[in-house]
Amino acid sequence: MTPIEILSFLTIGYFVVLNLVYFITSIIAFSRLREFSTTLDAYPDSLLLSSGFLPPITIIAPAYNEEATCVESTHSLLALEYPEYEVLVVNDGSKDSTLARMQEAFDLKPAPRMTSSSFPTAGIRGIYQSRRTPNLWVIDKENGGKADSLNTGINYTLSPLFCAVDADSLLEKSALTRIVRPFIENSETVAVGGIIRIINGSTVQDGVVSNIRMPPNLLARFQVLEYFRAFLAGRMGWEAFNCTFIISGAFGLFHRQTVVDAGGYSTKRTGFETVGEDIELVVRLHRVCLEQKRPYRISYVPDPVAWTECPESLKVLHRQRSRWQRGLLESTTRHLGMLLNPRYGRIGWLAFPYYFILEGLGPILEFAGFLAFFWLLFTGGPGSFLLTFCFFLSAFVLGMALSFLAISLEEISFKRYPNFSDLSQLFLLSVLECFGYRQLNAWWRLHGVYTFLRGKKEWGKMDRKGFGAGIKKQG
Amino acid sequence: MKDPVRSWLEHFGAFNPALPQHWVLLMLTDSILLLTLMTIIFALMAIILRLQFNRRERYWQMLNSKWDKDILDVLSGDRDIDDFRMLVESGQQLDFIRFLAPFAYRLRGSDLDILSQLAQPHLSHVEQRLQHKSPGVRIWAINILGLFGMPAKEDAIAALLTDRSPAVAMFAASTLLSHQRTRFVVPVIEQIHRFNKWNIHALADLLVRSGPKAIPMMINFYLDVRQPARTRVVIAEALGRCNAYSALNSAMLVLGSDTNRDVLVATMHLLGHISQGRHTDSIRMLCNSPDEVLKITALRTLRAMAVQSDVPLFRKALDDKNSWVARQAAMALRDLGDVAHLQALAARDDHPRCMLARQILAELPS
Repeated sequence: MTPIEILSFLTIGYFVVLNLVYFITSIIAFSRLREFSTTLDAYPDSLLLSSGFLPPITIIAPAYNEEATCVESTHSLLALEYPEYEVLVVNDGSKDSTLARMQEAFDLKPAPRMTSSSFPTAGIRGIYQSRRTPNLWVIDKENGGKADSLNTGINYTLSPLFCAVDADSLLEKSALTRIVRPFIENSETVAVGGIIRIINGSTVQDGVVSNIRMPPNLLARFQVLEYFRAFLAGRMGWEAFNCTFIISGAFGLFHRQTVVDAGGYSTKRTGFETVGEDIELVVRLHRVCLEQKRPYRISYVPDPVAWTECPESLKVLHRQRSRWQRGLLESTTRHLGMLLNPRYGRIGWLAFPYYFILEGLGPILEFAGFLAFFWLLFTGGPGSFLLTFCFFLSAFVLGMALSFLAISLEEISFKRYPNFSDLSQLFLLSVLECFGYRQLNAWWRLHGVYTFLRGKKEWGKMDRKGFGAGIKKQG
Repeated sequence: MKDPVRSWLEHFGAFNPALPQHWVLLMLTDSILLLTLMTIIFALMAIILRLQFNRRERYWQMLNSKWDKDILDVLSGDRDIDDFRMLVESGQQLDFIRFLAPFAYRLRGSDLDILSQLAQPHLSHVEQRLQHKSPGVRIWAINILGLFGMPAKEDAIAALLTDRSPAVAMFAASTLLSHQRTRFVVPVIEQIHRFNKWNIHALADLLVRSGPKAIPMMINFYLDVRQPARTRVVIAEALGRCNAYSALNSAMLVLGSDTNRDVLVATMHLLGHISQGRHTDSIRMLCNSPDEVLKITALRTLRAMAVQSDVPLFRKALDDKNSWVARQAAMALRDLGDVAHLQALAARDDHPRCMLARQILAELPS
C-alpha cells in the first residue's frame, strides 16, 4: 500500500468515526431534549424561585475594552430573576473608557472587599461598589488576560457558586434559575454549562433580547447553524454520558471551592497560559475529581441562554476559530496523560480521545485527506475520480443530514426562531455551508493547529459593534 | 433482497464483483442514498414539528380566548361555576387544567377554592398521568393534584413516594408536606436517603413545610444514631428553621456525644436558632477545634450569642490562617463593638487581615 493510500484510508476512517459520533450524540440529544422540555413544563421556574432552595451566586464578568457593550450587559446581569446574587465586573486594564462608562452609569464608590482565595493575579487598582445597586461591584486591575480576571473574581467571591460570563453576553432573565437546577438536584454537581445563542440581528430592549431574528449577515447565519449543532446536538449528547468536556467561557456556573481546590483558571502567573482557559478548567476539574476519587458531575443544561455577538467578518472569525482550536490543543496536550488511561474512566476512554484526536488533530487529517484525494483524482484514472466524487458527495449529504437533525432538535425543544422563513433559511444554509464555509472553517482550524505548534499565545482582537449596531435596539 | 443500486449498476454493466473498487463504489452509492433519505426525513421532521407547534399555538389561543373572560367572570361572581363546566368539551379536560394552573399558582383563599371546584370533574384524567412513563409528566400530575386535589388525592400522591425516579418521589414528598399532612412525615423521612444528591437546604425546607406537629417525630429520627447521617443533618437543619425549642436538650446531647462532623455542624446551626445564649460552653470548645469546618461553624454560632468575655477568643481567631475563620471572628468583634481593634488592623497596610478589617468596618452602619 502506498503512503497516499494509507492516508486516504486514515481520512476515511476519521470521517466515518467522527460522523458516527455526531450521529450518536444527536440521536441521544433528541430524546434528552424531549425529556428536558417536559420536565421544564412540569417544574416551572416560579416553583423554584419561591422554594427557598436557591443558593447565592456571584457573577464574574471580565471586561477588556468593552465600552460599547459593558453598560448594557451589566444592566442585563442586574435584571436577572434570582433571589440572591452579586455581579462582579472585572475591568482587565481596559485602554478605552470601560471603567468611566461603568462609573457614570452605576455611580460607583470605592469600597473594601475581603478575599476568599489568593490566586496570583495582576495588580488591583481599585475596588468599587455601586451606590444605586449595592450588589454590583467593579474591580479595576492591571491587564492580565481573561483567565487572570476570572481568578481575580474568584478571589473576591464570597458565595458557594460563581457564574463566569463574558462582559459582552446578555443572559436571559431566567438563566440563573435554570442553570442552578443541577446543583439543587445533584449535590455532586461541580460545574454546569449553559447554551450560547447568537444575538446578531435580534432586538435588544433594556438589556433583554426581545425580538429574536436570524442575523442579516451571511457569516453570522452560518454560525447560528453551527451553534445548533454544537450546543443542542454535541454537548447535550455528551452530557448523557457524564462527559461534558467544554463549558463555554461565555456562560458557566461553578462550585467555587472545587475550582479553588483544582487551582483556578490557568494563567501565566499560575504556571500555564492558554487561550482555552475555559476548556482547560473543565478538563482539570475532571482530572482532579477523578484522581481524588471524588464523586462529581459536570452538567450541561440546554435552556439557560446567554446571547452573544458573533463575528461578521472573515478576518475576525478566522481569528476566533483559530484561537478555539489552539485553546483545545493547549488544554488537551497539557493533560495528555488522561488519554486512554483507565484511571480516568469514560473521560479517558471516550471524551478525551474524541476531543484530542478527532476535534483537535482532525484538521491535519482533513487537510492531508484533501491533498491525497486530489492526488488520486489526477493520477488514479477514471475509477478513482468516480470514487472520490462519491466520497465527497456522501460527505456533503452527511453534513446536510446532521444540520437538518440539529434543526429538528431546535424544533423539538425551544423554537427560538418563530418565523417559518427562519426555518427555511436554516435549511438553505445547511446546503450552502458545504460550498466554501465548511472548507474555510477547516482551513482556519488547521491554522489554529499551526499556531499551536508555533507556541503562539495571543488572543487577537474581536471587534464589537455593541448591542446598538449589528443588533437592533429599542428603548 | 438484492441491493437495487447493484442491480442498476449491473444493468448498465458498471459493476464487476471481482473488482474491489466496485464494491467500495457500491458501498458509497448506498451510503449516499441512505443519507439522502435520512436528510429528507430530518427535514420533514423539522417541518412537521414546526407545523404541530403552530397548530398547537393556534389551538391554545382559541381555548384562551374561549375561557379567559369566563374565568374572570366566575372569579368575580358574575357567572355560575356550573355554567362554566359546560364550556369544557370532551378531549379538552387536560387543556383546561393546564389553563387553570397559572391562575391557581397566583391565587389563594376563596379564589383558589373556586378554581379547585372547576378542576374537580377533570382530575381523574390528571390522576391517570401519575402512571405515565415520563417522570416529567408524573411530576406535572403531582403538582396539579397538589394544587386542586388535596386532600382527596393524597393517597394517590403518597404512592409515588417510592417512585423509581427520585425527582418524582421528591415532588410527591414536597406536595404532601406542603399541605401539612403529618401522617406522611415518617414515610417522607424514611425516603430521605434516596434524595442523597439533593441539596440539604432544599430537603430541610421540605420538612419545614410539614408544620409544628411534625417536630416530635423529627426529633426522634434526629436522635436515632442508626439513621443515616444525612437524614439526621437534614432534620437538624429543618428543626432550626422551625425554631424548635423543644429540640434544645436533644441538640446538646448530640453535641456532647456524636462524632460525625456533618451532624455536629448541623447541630450547631440548630443551636444557633434555638439556644438563645444558653449552653454555649460546648460551642466555645469547638471554636478551638482542629477541624476548620467545625471551627468556622462554632464561631458563627457563638457570634450570634457572644458576650464581652468572648472578645479574646475572637481576637485570637482573627489571626487564624483560614480567611473564613478570620471573617467570622471579625464580624463577631464588630457585633461586640470591638471596633478599635479592627480600626488598628485596618490602619496597618502590612497586616494580613488589614483588608478584611477595612471591609468589616465599611459594613458598619453610618
